[in-house]
Amino acid sequence: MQQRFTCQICQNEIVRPGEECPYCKSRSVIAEGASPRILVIVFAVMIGCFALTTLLAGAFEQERRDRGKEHFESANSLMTEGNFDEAIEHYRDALLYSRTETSYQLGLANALFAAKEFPETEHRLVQLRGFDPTSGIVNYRLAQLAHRGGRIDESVAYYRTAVYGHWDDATEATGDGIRVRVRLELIDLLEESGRDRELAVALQELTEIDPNNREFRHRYAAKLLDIQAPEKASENYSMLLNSDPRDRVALLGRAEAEFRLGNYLTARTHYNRAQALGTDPATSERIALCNRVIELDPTRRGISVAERYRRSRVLVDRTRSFVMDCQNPLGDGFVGPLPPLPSDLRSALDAAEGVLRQTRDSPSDEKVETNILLAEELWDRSTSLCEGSGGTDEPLGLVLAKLAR
Amino acid sequence: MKPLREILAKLLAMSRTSPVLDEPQRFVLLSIVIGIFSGLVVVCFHVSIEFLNWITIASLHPPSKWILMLWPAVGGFVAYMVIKYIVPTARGTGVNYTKTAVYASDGYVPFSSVLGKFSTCTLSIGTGNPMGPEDPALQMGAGIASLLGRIFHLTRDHMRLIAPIGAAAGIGAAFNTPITAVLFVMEEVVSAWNAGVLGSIVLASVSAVIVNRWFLGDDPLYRVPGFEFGDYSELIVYAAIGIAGGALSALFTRHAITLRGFFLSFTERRRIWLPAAAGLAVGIVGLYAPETLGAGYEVVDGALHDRFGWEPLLMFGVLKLLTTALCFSCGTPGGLFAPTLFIGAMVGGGIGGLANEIWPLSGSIGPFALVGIGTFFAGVFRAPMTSVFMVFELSASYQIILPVMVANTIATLVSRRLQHESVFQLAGYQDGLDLPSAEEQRETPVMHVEDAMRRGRGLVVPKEMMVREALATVEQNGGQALLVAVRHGRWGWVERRDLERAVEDGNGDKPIHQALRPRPAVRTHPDVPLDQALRKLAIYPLLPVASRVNPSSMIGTLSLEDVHRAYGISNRTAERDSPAQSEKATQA
Repeated sequence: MQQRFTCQICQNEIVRPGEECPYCKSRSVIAEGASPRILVIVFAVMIGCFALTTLLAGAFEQERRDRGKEHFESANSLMTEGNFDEAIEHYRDALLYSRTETSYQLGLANALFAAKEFPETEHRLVQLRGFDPTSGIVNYRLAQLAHRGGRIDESVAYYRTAVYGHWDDATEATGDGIRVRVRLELIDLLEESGRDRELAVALQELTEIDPNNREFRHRYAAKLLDIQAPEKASENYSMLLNSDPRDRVALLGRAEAEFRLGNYLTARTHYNRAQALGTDPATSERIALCNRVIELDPTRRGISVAERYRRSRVLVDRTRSFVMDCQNPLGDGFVGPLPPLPSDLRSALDAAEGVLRQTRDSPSDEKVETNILLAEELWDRSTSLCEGSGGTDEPLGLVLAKLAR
Repeated sequence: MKPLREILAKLLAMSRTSPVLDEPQRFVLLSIVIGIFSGLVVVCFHVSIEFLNWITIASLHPPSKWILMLWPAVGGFVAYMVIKYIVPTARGTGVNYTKTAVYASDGYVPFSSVLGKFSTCTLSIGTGNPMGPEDPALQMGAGIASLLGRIFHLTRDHMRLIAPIGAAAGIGAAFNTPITAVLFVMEEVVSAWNAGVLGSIVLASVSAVIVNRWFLGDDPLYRVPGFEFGDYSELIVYAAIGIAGGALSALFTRHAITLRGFFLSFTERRRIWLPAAAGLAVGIVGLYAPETLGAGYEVVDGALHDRFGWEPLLMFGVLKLLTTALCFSCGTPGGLFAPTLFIGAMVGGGIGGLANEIWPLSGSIGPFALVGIGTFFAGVFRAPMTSVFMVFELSASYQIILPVMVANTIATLVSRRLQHESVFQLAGYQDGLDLPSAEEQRETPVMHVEDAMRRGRGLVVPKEMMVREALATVEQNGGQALLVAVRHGRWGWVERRDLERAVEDGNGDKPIHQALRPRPAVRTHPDVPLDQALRKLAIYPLLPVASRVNPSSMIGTLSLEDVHRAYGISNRTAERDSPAQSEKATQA
């Protein structure tokens, strides 16, 4: 097939390309078709350029990696020397050469964190987290930053991801275990922010991970007491006492747990054992209180019906006195009419006075029950009257609370 | 062996004679080939700049700081000497070079300019001059495209389009952002949305970006942190960034061009020393603020990651503005893209940081620096669409669109208000070029049929009308033709001379459709550009203008005289042809 050529200017068909057009004398003469030879040549040149660029880019990449590594190593040694500012500059230089290298980015983030450059640290870490959302170290650092910034929810979430995230082998192999360290920081944060329920769960997890760690169990048990879970607290303190019966803190903890459960005898026993290991006024006060509660309790096992009856009468008497004190907190010093009592309270008081007047009554279980119910009724009805009156009878309150349970 | 030899011989014989691809096929194939070649060249260009940079200002074992200070001067001087004595075609900006290829030289870009830009810009940018590699990459792409177009023997029409395709490939590979490259070339170089060339530009840009990523990785120009739009009140700060970016870009353009004009008035012997002097100034500034040296991508990256406070950011921005303006005006080879992005990011980050101090916002400077990137660019190059999409493409965040649009639009408006022409246009004037600007083309009003048409049905008659009456109607309306309503929604046309002839032949009292045979008329619509209607008027003397909603209802007519009137040609012609005017013209 004959190839056709045209002049670019006058569009006349001409014989040979690359020469002056015979019609318009223009030099802009081109051919209308490209032969396969041209294609072959162009593709050959392209392959050549590819090869050349591959060589050049390979050398460039190698040099870039080497330079990055050199800066990274310098930065690491500066970090160990505590020269954070210079380390940051070296990490930055390392990143100029290998921007995607995670270890460099992490190194920079750590250095920035150490140098207290928090905004930039956070930016770097957030970016790193974008690439690896479950990285333990990245989430851990982010959690610390969020904690610093007062973003507690965010911090807790980061800590949790850090706990369950992945860590590099070197970090995992460190002595005390990085995950436990992270959990402890999380626990501190939860404690600080008053998230007791979450805290107890975190502590429980910790004790499950390391059941023999007394420190964790102590903290767990104490936190259980704080969140009003005395039963579980008592269990944990028992475990502690099983392995070390002379652990005074555990004894006191167990005593407190039992006290809150209403087991005043057990509580007193443990307080006494703790007191034997070392005295302190608070424990003595606690023992005295236990004694008073035990003496007042009409439901205590092993006492006679007469004694129970006597105690129930004392209970009614002390409750009545407590209510009267509430009505007239100044006692004899008060001049003028007393505030009127609600009718239901008035009738309960009258009933109490009736009971107290019957001095020769024979004791029986029914009468004990009746007296206890009367004391409880008086106590309940006096709530609104005694609010803010300042009067208190702790043993009485504890006994009545126990009876109510 | 024998069959193989026969096949080879056949192929060789074919290669001597037959063309294998037709023009459109070659054009598409060529777009991909251009993209690949441009990508390869830009990768080599990038690697060369980095290697030189590592040898000179970023050496691992740097010599004394005084030697470091001299590198930009040495680089600028050597690069200028190479341009002056070896490759003069590498002078000027890549955008103007490519536009010249499109509008003036039939797509011709000498290949020596590719080699020249490669070597001289490597020398200048690699030694720390504050210029960018994108504009040279654009010109290199255009040069490669032009060479391939010549090799593939494209027609003149296609040759004119080939340079922008190469430019898109070059800039796409340099920026590593294909959409931005396409938009920039369409907005700044081609200045029009030409569907024919758009596909090829996209193909070339994508091919170039793929090649670039193949060799240098997927990393974008900057690693942009996640953007979160905090509060709508932050838009006030973004607007302030837009105002500052626009004002500074106008200031930059005006002063850089004035200074360039001043330096161009120097004798050639004195001008040789200017890049060296500018390089020395850059080196001195670089001693105190090394962040201002080179293209500065890593500094922008640092600003995006809150590495700097607002004071250093503003300082870097101002210093870079001064050194870039100086280097540009002294003729130091290199582009303005990277410096404009740098200045924008620094100013944006600086203003954002300052606002954070006064009025606590999100607390991070990064988003303000990111939005700022496009403002100075939009102001200097007058390419608001490109700047918006560039930031969008870099950040890959939808949330950023709103602040970026606010800031960039304001920057463009402020810049236009303060400085009417773009830096490329002004530099073109100084280099003796009068190239059409994108803005100029966009803003030239287009006339439509509705601007010229004669409203009403004055030149329309029923087919039953007598020829004599019809002639009177034409004479009364001063037209040369008449439309005849043949049936509902159909019109025919007759010329005035046909009517006159019919009267002369004694058919004046016959109905038109009997005396003459009206030829079918082709209708037009009020929204059609006059240029398009004129093509029809070359064939038909009178066009019925029909409504788009009800095409069978005529709302006016359009004749050549009407078009002339709309353009004001008939009046001037009349004036020119008047005896008094002729006399004046003769005297003159």
